[in-house]
Amino acid sequence: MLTISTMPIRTRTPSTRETSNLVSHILRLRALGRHLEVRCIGDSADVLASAMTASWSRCLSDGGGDCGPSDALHLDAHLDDPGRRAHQLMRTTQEITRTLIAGQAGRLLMLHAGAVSHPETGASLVYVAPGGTGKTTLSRLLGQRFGYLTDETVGITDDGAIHPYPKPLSVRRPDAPHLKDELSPDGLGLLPAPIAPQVARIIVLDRDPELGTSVETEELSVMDALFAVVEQTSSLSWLDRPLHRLADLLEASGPVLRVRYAEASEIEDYLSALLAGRS
Amino acid sequence: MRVQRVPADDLLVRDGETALLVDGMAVRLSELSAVIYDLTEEMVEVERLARELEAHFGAPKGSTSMDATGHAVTELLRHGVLRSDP
Repeated sequence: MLTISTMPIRTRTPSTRETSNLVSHILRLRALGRHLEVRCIGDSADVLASAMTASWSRCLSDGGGDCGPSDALHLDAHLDDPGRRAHQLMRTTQEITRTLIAGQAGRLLMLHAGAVSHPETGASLVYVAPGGTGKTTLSRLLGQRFGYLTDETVGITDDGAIHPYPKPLSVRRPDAPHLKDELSPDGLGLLPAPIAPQVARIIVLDRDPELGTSVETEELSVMDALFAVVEQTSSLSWLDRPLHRLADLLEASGPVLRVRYAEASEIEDYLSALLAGRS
Repeated sequence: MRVQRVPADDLLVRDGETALLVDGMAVRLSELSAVIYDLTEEMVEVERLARELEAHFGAPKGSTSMDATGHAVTELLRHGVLRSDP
């Protein structure tokens, strides 16, 4: 995969700006089964493009693949003040996710979840959880042993195949909780996604800082699992027979487990064994 | 008052339980609510609904059929599963 860095092109001056010509840079990404072109514009477009090229290293594309470039999605990312780079990088990551989800609405079953995959078999563990409850931390740990698929959105076809979304890991800054750093999975040493990842097991994360070192697990019935997971879906009603599709997936990979824990390090070995058992 | 079910994006029955997806919202139906949903394909008076539910489940304990039906209908209206006559 992946060679393109950035392609500087000259664009016309926006009518609302006093500056002369702006240089823009196009990043071509392949993620969640779609092509996406991000046009970096503004006085510091090169700064933004350079940062994005590093943090989105796993998704850079040469424009080929299943879905031709004519079907590519498009997004603009604007940076004038280089001091706002981290903020704009975070915002662009969020917009890329929203754009890709919209682009796959009605096609993929999309879960707000992280996922890793056995590097040889492609058997994948999907961990569903709301934002801010440990998906990224877990991805960072498990991605040292298994192929990193995503820390944010898992896109699943009707036969259980996963379209990887190996975006940068969005890590909240301790000193500025409103700001997340977008860290390249390559820079963190995470293993690459295998060629054909498939859902093997789904768990629902329930993080409770009061639990200490204990870990509690509970097998969920299909209906309990469906209602635990359905809140963490995107564009579900765009699918044909959406509840059936979700229930079929939960049954095929079940039983779904709810895992209550305090710290990701406490469940790393347990989840690794769970995935190894399905590989 | 007359009520009718709102068309669902999907209806799933598993292990005797029923889930609906209505306006993008998933709703888990009790056994009573599932029967109400089944009986309201067309507009129906709540009084008639209460009679049919009593025939199906028997008289409720500690309440009247009309009160129990009214309570369930109110909940289903609140969740957008039913709509009422304007």
